[in-house]
Amino acid sequence: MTILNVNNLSVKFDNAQVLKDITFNLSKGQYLAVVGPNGAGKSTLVKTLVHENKRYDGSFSFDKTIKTTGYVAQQNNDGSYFPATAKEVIISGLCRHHLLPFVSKADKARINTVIEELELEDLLDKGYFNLSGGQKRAVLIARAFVASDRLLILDEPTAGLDVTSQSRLYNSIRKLNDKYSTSILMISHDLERIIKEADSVLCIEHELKFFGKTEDFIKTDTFKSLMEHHV
Amino acid sequence: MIDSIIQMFSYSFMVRAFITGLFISACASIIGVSLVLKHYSMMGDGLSHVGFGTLALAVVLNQSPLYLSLPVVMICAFLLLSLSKRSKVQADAAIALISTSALALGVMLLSVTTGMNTDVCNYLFGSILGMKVSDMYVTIFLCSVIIVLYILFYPKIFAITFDETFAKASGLKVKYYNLALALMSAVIITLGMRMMGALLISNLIVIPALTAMRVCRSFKNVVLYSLAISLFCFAAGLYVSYEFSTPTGASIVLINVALFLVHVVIEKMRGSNAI
Repeated sequence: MTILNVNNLSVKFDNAQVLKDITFNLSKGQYLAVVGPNGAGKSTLVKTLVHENKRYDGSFSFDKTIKTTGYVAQQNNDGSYFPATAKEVIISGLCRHHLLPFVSKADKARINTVIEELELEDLLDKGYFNLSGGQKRAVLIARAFVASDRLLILDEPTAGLDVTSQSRLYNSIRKLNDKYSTSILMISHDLERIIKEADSVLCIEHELKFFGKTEDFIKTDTFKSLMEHHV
Repeated sequence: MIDSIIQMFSYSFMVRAFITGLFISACASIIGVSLVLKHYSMMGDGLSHVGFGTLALAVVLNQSPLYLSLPVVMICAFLLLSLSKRSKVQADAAIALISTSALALGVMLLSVTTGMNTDVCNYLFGSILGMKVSDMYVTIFLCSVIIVLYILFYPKIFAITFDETFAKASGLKVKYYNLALALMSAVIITLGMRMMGALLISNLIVIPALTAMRVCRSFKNVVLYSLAISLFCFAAGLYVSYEFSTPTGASIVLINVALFLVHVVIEKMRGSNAI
């Protein structure tokens, strides 16, 4: 079952071709890593898919049953003070269809599920501002899952975290992918780790360099060149 | 003190001012939390200057200031958002541009017509004497609408205040909610201008939220605490104004500021890391 279909997606900013004819699709339960060098257009691709960028050619469509995507942006509200508890942030994943006092049983169940799976029980009443970087990202992933347990679009959610926090987040994402068949589209610069996690890879450098299974990707010159650059 | 309060409420204009003020303070405090956190604090100040400009026009045209100001201030709120979002003008510069233009226009209109009479001064610094019964009913109706909308759309208001990017990605029409916030601020400012004064009304929006943020950790508590503080400061300010014959707007503002300073001290003593 195809969750996301992207056809010949192109983005141009001030005569600079950021993305050119990107075509790929994402199936239910698929874990797709989006890789490529810095400035290759990975974030632009994600921003286009979540309607943050509206200047594009080509097309993309989500499965009709997907009303909203669970998105974790690259730059989050990490730095500035905001009075909110972790619980308030997680529940805000329902913002699209949530009017007080109406919360459906299914929505409540999804909130409880993700809190349990990501082991966030102890953080719920703590101020979001007082959480560590890794805890904040876990809360944002939980919020994204509450918004959509069908598709998570994650733009470098582990960036700037220590190794332990990174590992914990990767495990959490893997758990949601395995247990709930949540499709994952994730940008990561940690090439060594992401190829162990994802079952498929989309490599772009303004245009499509590779799209296919991870085991095929690691045999390509593109992968070797990226790894050299990475090291 | 009790006798003094009973005597205060024996005057119908004081009862009108009390009821109207409670509704305006309640709305200003809850909307203010989002405005402060979204860095739109100066919008209230800018819109109050626009309110003064329209007041001057109303005086010159011999029209009711409330009914003329309401649509004009709402249009300016819309313009402020559009200017800061779409053009190269920064949000604070857009506010300065519109507010000073409106203020200058108001001063110019008054200087070539009626001059700075008492009515104009009352609007600048606030007066409870001119509160008509019809104004009170309009205020109760509009503030009730704002409160009901705020409660109903609270989850969406939280989402756009906390993280616009996520809200947009979730399919929320963020620009419409931002516009709704700006329009609600415009309504509150116009309604509150008569009592608080055009130069002081923005305080009702900003200070209670800032005070609540000193001691509360959750968004919901900030909203509720801000509401409680705002109502208390209004009631206390009105009483002080009546008892000591001080200007109402200035009394309410100074009590708000005093309470804010008390909370700053509490925050320092607790070693909290709020703003």
